[in-house]
Amino acid sequence: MHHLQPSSATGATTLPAPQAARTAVAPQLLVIGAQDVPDKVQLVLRSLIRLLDGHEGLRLQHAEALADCNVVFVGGASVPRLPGRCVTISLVDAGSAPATGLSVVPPLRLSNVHAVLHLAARLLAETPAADAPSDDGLAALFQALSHHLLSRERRVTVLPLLDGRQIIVDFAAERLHTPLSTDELLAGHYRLGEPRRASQDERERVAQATASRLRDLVWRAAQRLGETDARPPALHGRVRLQRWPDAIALSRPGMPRLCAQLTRRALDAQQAAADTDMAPAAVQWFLYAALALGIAAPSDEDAPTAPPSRPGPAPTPSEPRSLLGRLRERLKLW
Amino acid sequence: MVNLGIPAPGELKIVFTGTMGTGKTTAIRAISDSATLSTEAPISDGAMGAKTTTTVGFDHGECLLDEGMRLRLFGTPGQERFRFMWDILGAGAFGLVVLADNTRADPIGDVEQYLRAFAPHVPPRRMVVGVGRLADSPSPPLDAYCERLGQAGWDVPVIEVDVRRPQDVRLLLSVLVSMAEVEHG
Repeated sequence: MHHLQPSSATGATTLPAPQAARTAVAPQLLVIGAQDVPDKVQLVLRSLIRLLDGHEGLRLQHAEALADCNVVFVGGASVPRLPGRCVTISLVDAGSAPATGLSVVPPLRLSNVHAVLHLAARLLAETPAADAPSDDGLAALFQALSHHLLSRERRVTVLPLLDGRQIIVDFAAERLHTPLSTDELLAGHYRLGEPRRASQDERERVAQATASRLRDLVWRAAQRLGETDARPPALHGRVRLQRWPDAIALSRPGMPRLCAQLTRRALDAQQAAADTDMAPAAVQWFLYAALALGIAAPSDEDAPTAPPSRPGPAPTPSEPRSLLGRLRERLKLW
Repeated sequence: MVNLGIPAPGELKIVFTGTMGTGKTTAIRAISDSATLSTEAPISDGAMGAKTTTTVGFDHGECLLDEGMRLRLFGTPGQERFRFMWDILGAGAFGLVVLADNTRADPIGDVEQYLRAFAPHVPPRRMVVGVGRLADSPSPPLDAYCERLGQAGWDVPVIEVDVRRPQDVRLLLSVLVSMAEVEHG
């Protein structure tokens, strides 16, 4: 029998204290995007990211949304204003120099991309983290949300911030009301006060206010925390997905494959990470979010087994794995 | 001439199906290499908003991989009276994408109909459902799709999409490919 202990459900464990939430030795993950870069060049860049990931201490990942990136390759003449702490790498002709940031002269090759990404990693490490995501605030928010979700409480709850602002969450409607933007929530530069039930007045105000989806925030928070050095909550035992997650949760490399594994059989976080080449911490944050949102459940399966459903047809000469691999490359599937 | 049936070696065939106006043609165009083949005709009982034509034969697009390999994409006509085309196009399919329009009266029932129709050709772990227009009509939510389809024995991925965004179409294909890789990994 395996026991799974999401911290908020049992109270047996909690998210680690902020001071312990980081591991000093882990190199920073570079989440890399592109703007105004031709499709062909982007294709090359993605391939190089995959090749260079794990090479000489580089931790690399590609992302479509620039808001998720801390390194952006820029093809246009002007360097765009990008959110948060972000290093721009301009694609420039030989001899010319970009206005700000780093530059690389096309064509993109293993050597020049490797060199410039090392510089980017160093820049990020040396840049004051004033506007970098804070594991502490975001982890605390994630813990508060998952605690309420796991307890299956379905009331309107106020999460006060120490600066006087509020996050009001309607757990029944799965809606979130706050003056903070999603980027601000994910940046984590706040301290949470003690959660309390919403008053009648607050519930009425909330009903009329614009709201965002709670699920989207939970998934994005789990993604962001998985990309930082925040230590995930302990999960023991195997977990199986009961349904596929929202599209937003699938928007990271490896996630569709992870979910394909976990809808087929129960796995623990380490097995799932090993099967998908994903960082164990990212898998663990994902699993915790899935448990909190009620789309995953602990499993007592002693050994990974295939479900009793009809299996797919065996591979035929017309669909060898290499063909699927080529399809992934060609259509930029992750 | 387009081969509608069993794909040749080195080819993968993926079928897009769903009711009229769910974006099958749009999805295929989003990821095909070049001009797609569409057999469209004016909607006989009046336009659906901005949509004035519908597919009456099939849509076809291709995506060339390297070494002569290719992905072949087929869109079925949505209307029941063209059902005979579903069996023709489903033959030898690697995967099935069912697109749903959440503003319809019973979009889950629509999906179930297509899953049943293609079940002789495509196993459940090669099917994915993309639900569109959730912003216009939040009900039924995706949970309701999963619950009702699950009760009917269809444990298939159900994902919100806007097929006008190529990355959403790619996500559906990524899910299909991932399931196939895991199944035989």
